[in-house]
Amino acid sequence: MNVINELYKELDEQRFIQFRKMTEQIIVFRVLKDEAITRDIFLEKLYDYIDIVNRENHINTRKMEYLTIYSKALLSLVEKGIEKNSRQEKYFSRAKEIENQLKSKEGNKVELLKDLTRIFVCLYRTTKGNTFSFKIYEADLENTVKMLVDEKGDKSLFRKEKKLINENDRYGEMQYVLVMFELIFLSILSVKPEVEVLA
Amino acid sequence: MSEQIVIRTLDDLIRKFGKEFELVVRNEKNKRFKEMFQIVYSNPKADQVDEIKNTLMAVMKDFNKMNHAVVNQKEMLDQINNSLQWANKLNAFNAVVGVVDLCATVAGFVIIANKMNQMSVQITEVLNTVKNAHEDETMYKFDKVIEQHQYMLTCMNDGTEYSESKFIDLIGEEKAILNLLRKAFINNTCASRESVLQATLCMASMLASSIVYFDNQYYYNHKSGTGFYPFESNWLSSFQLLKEDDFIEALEDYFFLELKRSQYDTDLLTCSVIDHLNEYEHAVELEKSILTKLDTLEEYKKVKKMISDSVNQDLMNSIQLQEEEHPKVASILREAAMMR
Repeated sequence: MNVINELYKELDEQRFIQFRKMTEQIIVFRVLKDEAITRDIFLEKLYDYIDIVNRENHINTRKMEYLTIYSKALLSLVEKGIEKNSRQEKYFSRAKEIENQLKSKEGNKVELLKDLTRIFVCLYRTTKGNTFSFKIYEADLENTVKMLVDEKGDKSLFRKEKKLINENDRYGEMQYVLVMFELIFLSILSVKPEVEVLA
Repeated sequence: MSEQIVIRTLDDLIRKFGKEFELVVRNEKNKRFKEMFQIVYSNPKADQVDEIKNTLMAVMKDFNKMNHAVVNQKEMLDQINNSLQWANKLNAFNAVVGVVDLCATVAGFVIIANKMNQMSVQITEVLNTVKNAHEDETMYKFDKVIEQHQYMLTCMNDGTEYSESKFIDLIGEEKAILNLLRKAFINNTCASRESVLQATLCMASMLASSIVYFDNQYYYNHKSGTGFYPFESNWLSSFQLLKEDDFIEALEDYFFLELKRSQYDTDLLTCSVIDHLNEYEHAVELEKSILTKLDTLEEYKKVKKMISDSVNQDLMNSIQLQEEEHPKVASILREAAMMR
C-alpha cells in the first residue's frame, strides 16, 4: 500500500483532479460533496476500494500480488505484436526484467511500476499501428484508457466475446488494473522533466 | 503334408516365417484341422521373459504331444533357453544402448552448445575489437582536433594571427568529427558509448567556441557584405542533427536499456544533453547578435571586457558573501573565478 501512497503523493493538483474525474465511476462518494473531498479523504476512499478489490479477488497484499497482476495484465496485451529484432523487442525484454524485479523483494517498486507503465504505453501505441517511440504525451493517457476500455477479452467458439474490462464490475481485477494504470501514468506526467524536444 | 523344416534357433524361426506367423495344428489320426495359433515375436522385456518362456513351453508341449514336432523337445528347449538368454542379454544391451543414445544426444547437445558459446564469445571478441579499433580511430582524430583547437585558443589569447582559412579548416574538421561521433553513438560502433557521448558534447562545445571566435574575426573583415560566413548555417546544422530523433532515440536506449536507469532519469539525462546543445547553439546566436549591434572590433572588445569584468565582480562579491556562512560554496566559486 506504500506504493500506492507514494504514487498518489506525486500527483500535482491538476493530475489529482484528473485522477478523481477519471475514477469517479469507481471511487464513488455518496455523502460528501465535491468541495469537501480533500486529497486525504480521497486517498482514504482509494484505500477502501483497493481493500475490497484485494479481498474479493483473493489478492495477497503482503506478498504484493497486485504488482504481479498489474504487470501481467499489461504485458499480455502487448506481447503478441512485438516484431523480432526490433527496438520494441528490446523494450519488451526490459519490461520482462522489470516484471521479475517487481516479484522480488528488492528494488524501488514505484520507479519500476512507472518504467513498466511507460514501456506498456509506448508498446501499446505500436500495436495500434504507430511507430515505436519512448516519448510519452499527455494525450496518451486518454487514448490508452479509451483503447483499454474497448479491448476485447479472449473469445472462443462457445463463449461470447466480452470486453476485457467489465465496466459494471467496479471491483473486478481488470478495473483495478485500469485504476492503477491511471494513477501511475498521472504520477509519471506530474514529475516529467519538461524540455522542448521531449514534449 | 509339406516338407520338414529343421529349426534350431529362434533366429532360424524368424528368418523363415518372420516375426508374425500362424501355426496350424492338425489331428494326428484324421489329419483334420484342430487348432490355430497366431505367433508374434517381440523383443522380450526382462520381466516378460519367464512368461514368454512358459508360453513357449506350453506351445511346444502341445506341439510335441501331437507328434507334429519338427525337433525333439529337449533340443528345442535348449534352443529356446539359449535364445531367451540371448534375448535377455539383448534386452539389457538395448537398454544400455538406449542410455548411451540418450547420453550421446545430451553430450552432443552440450558439445554443440559449448561450440556455439565459444563461437558467440569469439564473435563478441571480434566485434569488440572492431568497436575498439573504430573508437580508437575516432578518438585519435578527436585528440588531433583538440590539439588544433588548443593552438587556436592560444593564438586568440596571445593575439597571434590565426587566419580565416585556418579557422574554416578547423571548423570543418570539428564538424566532421562531431558527425563521426554522432554516428558512432547512434550505430553503437564504439566499445564505450559513455566516452563517445562525452566526446560528442565536448566537440559540440568546441565547435560552438570556434564558430564564435571565427565570427568575431570574420564579421569586421567582411562587414561590407552580409558580415557572416555564407556557409555558417551548414556548420550550425550539426547541432540540429544532434537533436534529431535518431540521436535522441540512441540516448534513450543508452540510458534506459544499457545503463538501466529509470524512465524519469532517462528523460532527465536526455534533456540535459539537449540542454547543453541548446546552450552551445544559443551562445553562437548571442555572439552574432552582439556583433551586429557593435560597429567596430574595438567597440566589441570593449563591451566583451566590460561583460567579463562585471561577471568577475559578481563572482568576487558572491565569494565574500559565502566566505563566512558557506565556506565550501565560496571555494567552488573561487575555483570558477580562477578558471575564467
